[in-house]
Amino acid sequence: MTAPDRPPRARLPLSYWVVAVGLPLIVGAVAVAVQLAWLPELPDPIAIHWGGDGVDGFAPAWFSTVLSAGLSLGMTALFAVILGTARGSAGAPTLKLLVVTSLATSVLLGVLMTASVGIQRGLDDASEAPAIDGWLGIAFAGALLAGAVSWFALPRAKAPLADAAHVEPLRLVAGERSAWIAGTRLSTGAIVVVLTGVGVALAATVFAVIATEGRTWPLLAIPVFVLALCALGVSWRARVDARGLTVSSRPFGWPRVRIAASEIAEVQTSHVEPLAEFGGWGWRWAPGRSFGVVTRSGEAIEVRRRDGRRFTVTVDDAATGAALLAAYAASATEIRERGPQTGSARGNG
Amino acid sequence: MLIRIDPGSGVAIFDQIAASVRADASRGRLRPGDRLPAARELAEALEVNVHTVLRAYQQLRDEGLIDLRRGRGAVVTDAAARGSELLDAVRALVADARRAEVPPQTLLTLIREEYAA
Repeated sequence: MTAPDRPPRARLPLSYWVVAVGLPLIVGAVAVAVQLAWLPELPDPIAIHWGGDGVDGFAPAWFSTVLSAGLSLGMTALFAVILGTARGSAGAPTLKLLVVTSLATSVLLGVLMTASVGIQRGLDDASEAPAIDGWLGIAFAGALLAGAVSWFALPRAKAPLADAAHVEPLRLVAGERSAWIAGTRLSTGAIVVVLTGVGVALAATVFAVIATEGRTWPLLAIPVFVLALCALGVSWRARVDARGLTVSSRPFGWPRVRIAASEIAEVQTSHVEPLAEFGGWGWRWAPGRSFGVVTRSGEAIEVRRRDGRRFTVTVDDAATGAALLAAYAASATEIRERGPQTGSARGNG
Repeated sequence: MLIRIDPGSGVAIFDQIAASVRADASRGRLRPGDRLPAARELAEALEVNVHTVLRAYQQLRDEGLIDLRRGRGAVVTDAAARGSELLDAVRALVADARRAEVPPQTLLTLIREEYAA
């Protein structure tokens, strides 16, 4: 009884690539072309940053055009790399979301950068440039619209559970009391990614506190809080016993997920890619997958409750744990279906 | 780690717990440096007294399979790896016996004679 192997790279349909790479490049090209066409009408230098009191940043006229081109190519390339290296089911909602986000981002940047240049056409002095707030709203609205339209235009995202493997329940001896315990921890790569993200947030907050001469020090509570939450999600213990499945965070035992054996309809094993299928690591929720504790890519126990909700936990030796859980779930179902034994009134059989 | 307890088998529960750990270690599922679950947690999962689990852990410690350390709990020692090498040898031996169409009882007799020699 082996868990499924690591799946090959996802074969994304052509429509995904068109929306994630083709359209953003077109949007970027249009933005750059329009800005180039306007170049002669712009003051020199142009305004590139608007602060609380109006324009406070200037740069040479070509700066915006170069930045537009660079961002368009760079962001599109980044999304292309992420999508190109994705593994697992091509229908995963997270992948589709990435595709749609690539297009939305390119629309946001394209509209915003072009508008920031466009409002300065015909001006002699860049510091007279009007506020950009209205265009910010339009850029966001356009991005959301592009995202929504492409989401519905692309093929439906499927829940990637077609590869889940059936689990043969362990044969339990009458009166047997067995348990299966395993620990799992975020992979080193995941920890690096999470720490980098929190580190950047922390650095930005420290910078902000310093820039305001310490007056905003309560802001530091936010990255510290985030770090504490992340720390809770790093190490987990999964336990299967007669009562069911318990997955709890180490070392405090909280947060914790408990699924009673009598609530379980089906137990399977599967291969899980945390980033593609859950959008990250730790205790997460994903459309179509419901909740899961996912720490590393690899084998996992998949549980489907009687009310349809699912739960996933990535853990080594998932096959054994799943087999024991299936056995306890089956015997709990038997007890439930048989009903309470009321003694002699039952008759034969 | 799978711990199978059959209360009706006549074998003491702490013996069964120790046997489960030994089996996992020789199968390579438990590697040197791995930590066994806390005695309290295992006792709760198996619905047995925590002292039963502690007795099993002490037995394993006396065998040299685990180390009991304050704060760190029960940690699998390097001796566990030796068990899995033995298992590989057993697998090879059984494969040879099968090829030679030697029945299990004959093989067991040969092994017993080796121990006696």
